[in-house]
Amino acid sequence: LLITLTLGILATVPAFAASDDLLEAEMAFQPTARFKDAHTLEVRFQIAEGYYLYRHRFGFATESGEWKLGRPAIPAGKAKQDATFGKVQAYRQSVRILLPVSLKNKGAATAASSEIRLGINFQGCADIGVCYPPQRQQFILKADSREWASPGTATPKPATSAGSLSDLLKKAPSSRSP
Amino acid sequence: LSFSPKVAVIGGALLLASVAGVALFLAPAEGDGPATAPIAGINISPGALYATRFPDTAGHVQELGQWQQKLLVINFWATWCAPCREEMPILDRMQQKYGGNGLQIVGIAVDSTSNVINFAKSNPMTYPLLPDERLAIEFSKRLGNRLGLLPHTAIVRPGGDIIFLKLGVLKEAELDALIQRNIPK
Repeated sequence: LLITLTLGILATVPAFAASDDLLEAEMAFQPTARFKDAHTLEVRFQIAEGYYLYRHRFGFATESGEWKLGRPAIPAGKAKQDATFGKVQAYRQSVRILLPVSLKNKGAATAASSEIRLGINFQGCADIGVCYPPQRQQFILKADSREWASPGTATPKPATSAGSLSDLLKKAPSSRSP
Repeated sequence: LSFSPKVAVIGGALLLASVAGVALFLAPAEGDGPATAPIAGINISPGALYATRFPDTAGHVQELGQWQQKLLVINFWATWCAPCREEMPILDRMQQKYGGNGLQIVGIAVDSTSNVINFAKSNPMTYPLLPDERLAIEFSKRLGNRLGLLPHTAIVRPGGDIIFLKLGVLKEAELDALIQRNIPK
């Protein structure tokens, strides 16, 4: 019985993935954002070892009506042959994305135009074979600051949600590898 | 689509939790033996589990209680989850193999109905696919999946004892053995 149990344990442990052993999404992927300059937002993900992000799952949007976003500049990721999705690109360790941003009405500076609410969608997995639900993090960035902001640092509301992302995801650039 | 407020707080599991890395996944009971020790992290009673309802892809509400007398394999998945999609053919084979003998697999999708319908057109499954993005995550968390990761699988013996939880892809031999040991005789 002992041998059987031991074998059972050995057979099971490699597949073991207790939730407690895995990082929260915001720790696994650590997104931050800032105004790089007056016309560019910079988004960074610091990705923990053993985790990766999919390129085609990034999405960016703003709820700030006075601002509009341009097409994000997402660097090429590492090609990954996915048994399910085919050839995709993924990021490990870190990725830096630049987002052109501009005021719709350039003439009048208002209280609303002094900051931008940036919504970022992303989705990734851990190498042990589990995936995180699509994440959405909300940032509030001050137009006159170049400081890095963490998700939701300027708002008391929780910034992560795993649902209702379809609108934002639709706005994600088509970034699958050819 | 609501969960019962009744919550089965799983107590006395600290000792079990100390070996949780093993115990979470070594819980299969043998044959018709007594109920197994509770698995740490589960936060739902059998009654609440069986009262849980999800829509199917046709919009009809499916209550898990309809499979109360079966060995129920609850698999959480999504179309965007590659490892989930890799293991679904295994689940489908199990449903075909044991479905007539007391096994029921359900695939609860953390996904939209339209995504699941599109997926099912090219990947038809012999077990029901039940999409509800928000409720699926809630339910999965009550079944020990703190972070809502996928894939996640729970196996429930007839009557409601949860005997097995796993995050990550199931191995076919592992699942087959579990089913054989626990399927109602």
